[in-house]
Amino acid sequence: MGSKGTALIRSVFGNSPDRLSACGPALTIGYLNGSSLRQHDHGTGTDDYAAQNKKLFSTLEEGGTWPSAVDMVRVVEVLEVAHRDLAIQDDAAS
Amino acid sequence: MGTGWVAQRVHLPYISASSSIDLAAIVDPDPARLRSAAVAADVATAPRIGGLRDDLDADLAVVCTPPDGHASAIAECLARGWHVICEKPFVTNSHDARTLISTAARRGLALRCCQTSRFRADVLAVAEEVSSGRLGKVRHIRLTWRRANGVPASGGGRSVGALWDLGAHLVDLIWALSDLGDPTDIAASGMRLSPQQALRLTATWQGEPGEGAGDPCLAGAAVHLGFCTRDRQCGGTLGHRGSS
Repeated sequence: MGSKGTALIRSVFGNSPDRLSACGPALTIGYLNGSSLRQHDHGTGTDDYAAQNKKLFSTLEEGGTWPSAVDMVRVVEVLEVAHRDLAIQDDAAS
Repeated sequence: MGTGWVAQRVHLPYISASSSIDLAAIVDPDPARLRSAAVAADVATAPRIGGLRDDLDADLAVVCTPPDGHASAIAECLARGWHVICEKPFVTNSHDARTLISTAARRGLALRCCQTSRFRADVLAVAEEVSSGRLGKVRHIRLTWRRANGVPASGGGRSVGALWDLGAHLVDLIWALSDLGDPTDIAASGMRLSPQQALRLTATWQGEPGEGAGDPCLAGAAVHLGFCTRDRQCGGTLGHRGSS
């Protein structure tokens, strides 16, 4: 799936890093997010939650393409701090 | 464990269709949902894990309960000697996260979270651009999720709110796209104009000398609820040599 997405980028902007750079900071790849098992066709091929989950289920081995234990903790840490920040602002506003 | 939206729409269809996974049991405190989810007569059912027989032949538990129950559910599964795949958000405090990961490692069990956005075609394409080195050192990552209908009506959205429910996917992409390590600063802000809501989160990494002249690296994730007519996720990555 990644090669299709990359192919789209290259078809639009070419292989040159300079051309990618010239496009500015915001080449935005849109993503239509519909019902969970509906195919998401956003011009880069198709993708869906079932396909994403298949990759997750395909191995239980450490590393590889799984979100690592380190990444799992990092996500929780960032959201924990953000949640605390928002709670403080809520308290201040009330 | 748990037969709500994500179990019915994502996990159970995949498990049922898989030739390599046999469904052994379904756990849910709601009797009606439990009955409808038990697709075969030989699938054990129980309102909670403790209701399953001790000698249940299972290797892996998929935790799809509301997020505020993830930590206790995962702990019970690990205690039974099962590998665990948990829906996002993994847990809602870092102490639980570290404790559960440590417990799983000690028992030789795998514990993984369904942070699946990193496997989307567009994300993989950008990650490939970053890892190729063509963009240079990553200096800025911007991720946005706009939802037309506000907080998801699923149990996840209701029990922990949009920051945890949607933010988990966006924040995971920071490390799926780059190897930035731990941020040096994190800040968040929110705006509530009922029924609209906007949450912004910014993480900062200290710039490394010689790469971007010591400028800080920023990653921002934003969730906008109810400000748009169509759901949309957007992202951009800026390196010191290019962007995608």
